[in-house]
Amino acid sequence: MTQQVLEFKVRSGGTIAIALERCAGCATQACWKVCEIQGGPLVWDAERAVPALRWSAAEIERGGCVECLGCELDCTVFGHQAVKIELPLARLEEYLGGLVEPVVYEVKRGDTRQ
Amino acid sequence: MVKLLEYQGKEVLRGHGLPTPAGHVVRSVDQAIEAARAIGYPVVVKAQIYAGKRGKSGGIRTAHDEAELATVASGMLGSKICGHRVEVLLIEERVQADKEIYVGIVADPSLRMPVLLACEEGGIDIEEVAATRPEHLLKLPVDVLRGVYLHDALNLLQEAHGLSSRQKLEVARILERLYAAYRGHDCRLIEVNPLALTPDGTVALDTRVELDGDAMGRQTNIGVDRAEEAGDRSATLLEQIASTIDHDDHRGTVHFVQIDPDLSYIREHNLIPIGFDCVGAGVSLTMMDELVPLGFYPVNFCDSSGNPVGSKLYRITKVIFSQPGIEGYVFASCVSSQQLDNTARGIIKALKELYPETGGQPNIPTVLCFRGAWDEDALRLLHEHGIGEGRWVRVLGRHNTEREVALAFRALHEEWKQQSKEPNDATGA
Repeated sequence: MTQQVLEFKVRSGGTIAIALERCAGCATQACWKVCEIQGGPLVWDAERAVPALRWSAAEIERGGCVECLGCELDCTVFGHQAVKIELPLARLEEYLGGLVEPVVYEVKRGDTRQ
Repeated sequence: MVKLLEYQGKEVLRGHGLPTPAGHVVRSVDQAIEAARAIGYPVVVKAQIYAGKRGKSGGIRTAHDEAELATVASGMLGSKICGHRVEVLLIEERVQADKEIYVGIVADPSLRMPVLLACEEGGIDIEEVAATRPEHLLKLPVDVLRGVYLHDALNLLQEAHGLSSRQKLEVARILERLYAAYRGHDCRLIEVNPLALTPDGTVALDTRVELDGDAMGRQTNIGVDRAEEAGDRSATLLEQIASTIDHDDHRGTVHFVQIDPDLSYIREHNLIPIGFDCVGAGVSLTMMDELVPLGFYPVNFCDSSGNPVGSKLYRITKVIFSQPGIEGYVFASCVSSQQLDNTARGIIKALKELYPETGGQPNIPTVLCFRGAWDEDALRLLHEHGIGEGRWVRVLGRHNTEREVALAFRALHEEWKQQSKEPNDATGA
């Protein structure tokens, strides 16, 4: 069975997931091209026409991925929006839940100003 | 430097065999009453805050019965003492002392050695004694390779003429144990003030413990929340969250401290709160020097340097924007050697998640100034993602000074404030 999602963990805690079925017909192949510039783990699997990893998952989690975030950002603009990077921030939700005043990005434009 | 609250410091002391009064840590009046029932009246109610002179400020009170305890505890909890909000109390047994003295160990930078300290006057401001009556403060520098022996401590106490031979021996034993605590916990300061001398022995009535912040990696069992240096207060939850970003990832740093966590200083001085991030502490200071005279006050300090990976900038940008009340955001790099395209990617990803409806364009005035390596790539990325074109965004580059960044921010903020007064402005960025 063909792998549908290419997923790997990164050093700082978090995951990068590439929905490979979206990569079909991607002309730019933006994700691995920016990764190659950064010396990261993504390469192009020409046979399957999808991105692939050139190192083991352990090697990547140890710091092989430099977490530049370029794969997700470039795929969003130039590719097929196939890359999703999840980078959790421990206890942020707990902090936000305890606030009395809303944070600025949750306030409708115009409401933030007196 | 990491300061411990009194009850945390007393745990350190007890771990090295120093006697402390029976006590309980409480966070409510009901818990205080329950603790006092277990201890027996009278009890001492002590606010757990990072400040000295608590006794003179109403932070240490005695309660003789349940009604008095309820009054004292409810008055302290939630109040501000010496500028610190009281959230935790220590309920302790009251100890009657024949005599109170001071003992401590401090790292002396000029000697580059720890120094044993003792003074026959207990419960006093030891800095004042050192300044006004230095002959009353007994000192003994310690060679850390040799350590402290009982006879060293006894030699120190030779001049303590008010102590009996038995008391000197007891205090010398305390100093030996205190030194073990000092070394064992990588302290910069550990003091017992006062140390009560009672017919049954010695009791540490109060303590101050400060640890070397650089040693916190191996002081994992100390039970304090790690964060950047926060001065005379405990680390805020947001600071603790920010500190986790660097915890296990040493690829660059994002030092974050809240300067005015509750905005009290800003409101008192009628300043405008803004979020703030710079590459390099030096440019942070020069940026503040330009912003503050214009009426803007960074609610946080942040130095994201040492070539941090993009994910660190992503996380710290979310932290900075999560400070309520900010009316803008300023980012500026020095002419740095770090890869600013990755810095920009982190900021871009954060903004896109925080402002999904506008594709990452923030709803507050935002000035981003990239100067240094890969700065042109950073600017290109901001435009590729449509953030550089945001209604409330200005992007500056390598030819702009800190002054120009501040002036650009002021102009944008004035426009933003002006537009807020106009009707029918609910259209988004």
